[in-house]
Amino acid sequence: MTNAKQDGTQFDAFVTTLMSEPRPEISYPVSHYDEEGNCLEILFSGDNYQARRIDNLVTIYVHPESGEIIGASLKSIRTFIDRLTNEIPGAKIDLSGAGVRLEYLLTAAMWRSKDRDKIEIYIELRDRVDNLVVTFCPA
Amino acid sequence: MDDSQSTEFDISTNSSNPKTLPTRRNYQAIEARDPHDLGVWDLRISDDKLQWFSKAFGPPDRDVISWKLQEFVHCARPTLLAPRAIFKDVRSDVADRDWLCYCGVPSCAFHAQSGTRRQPWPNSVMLVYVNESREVFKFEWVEADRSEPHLPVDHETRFGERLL
Repeated sequence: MTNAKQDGTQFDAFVTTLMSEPRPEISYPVSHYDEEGNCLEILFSGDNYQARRIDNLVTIYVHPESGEIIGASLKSIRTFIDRLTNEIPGAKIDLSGAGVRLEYLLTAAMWRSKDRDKIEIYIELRDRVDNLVVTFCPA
Repeated sequence: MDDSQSTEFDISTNSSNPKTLPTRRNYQAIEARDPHDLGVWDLRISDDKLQWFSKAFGPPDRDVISWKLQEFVHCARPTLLAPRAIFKDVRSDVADRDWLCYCGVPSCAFHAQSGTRRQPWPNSVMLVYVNESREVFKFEWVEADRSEPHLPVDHETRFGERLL
């Protein structure tokens, strides 16, 4: 028997507790670094979305009916930053500090693309993240 | 290092992949289909991830239950146990890693604004991603392939190998 089978009640109890509590107040845009997936998730709202892959780095979240961009995820984000600092010696990004301004990362990522449509998506994301600073420690 | 981190699996050999995973603090065990033999094995999801699903995905009315958390329970978990396809090597800037992607079309979705159950999104499939340590880190609806509507668009190029 799997541990999950034995511990199913533990999962159910944990989720039931989460569902029974009011969600904490949250201010958008908001970001979350996912250590297990080495990806950074950014949300502009808490609405439904369908994920659309833009390139190897960025997937955007699009509302399934309105087409509005709800958020995005940046995959392999630590690897991307490591490459960036290696390729651009002047772009020293300190991951251990207070955080990185997301608009800087999106600007750097944008110029890897030669596709005008993709660049415009990057610009929209950059404009909407405001002054969001991202950190790479789990919450 | 946590003992459980030594259980990273090699998808190519079954002997090194026990069905069970040691319990790990701040993680929940969940069942999924084992791509080796189509039996059932353990995966994990972190409490932090479930809390992120709960707090960030919903309307301003904080009493409405997160659609993302409900979809994890009622859509992603069934997809892990009864997938239509399982892919290996989720391609990104980091070349071919031993990540898995379970694919399916769950029977429902959830409205963000009301938290209520609804029909699944049309022309969409659900993907659930699992890393090399057997941790679920993401799930999402994506556009379905036009000719094979039970599979994600671009599935030929997005993944290294199809296991199921």
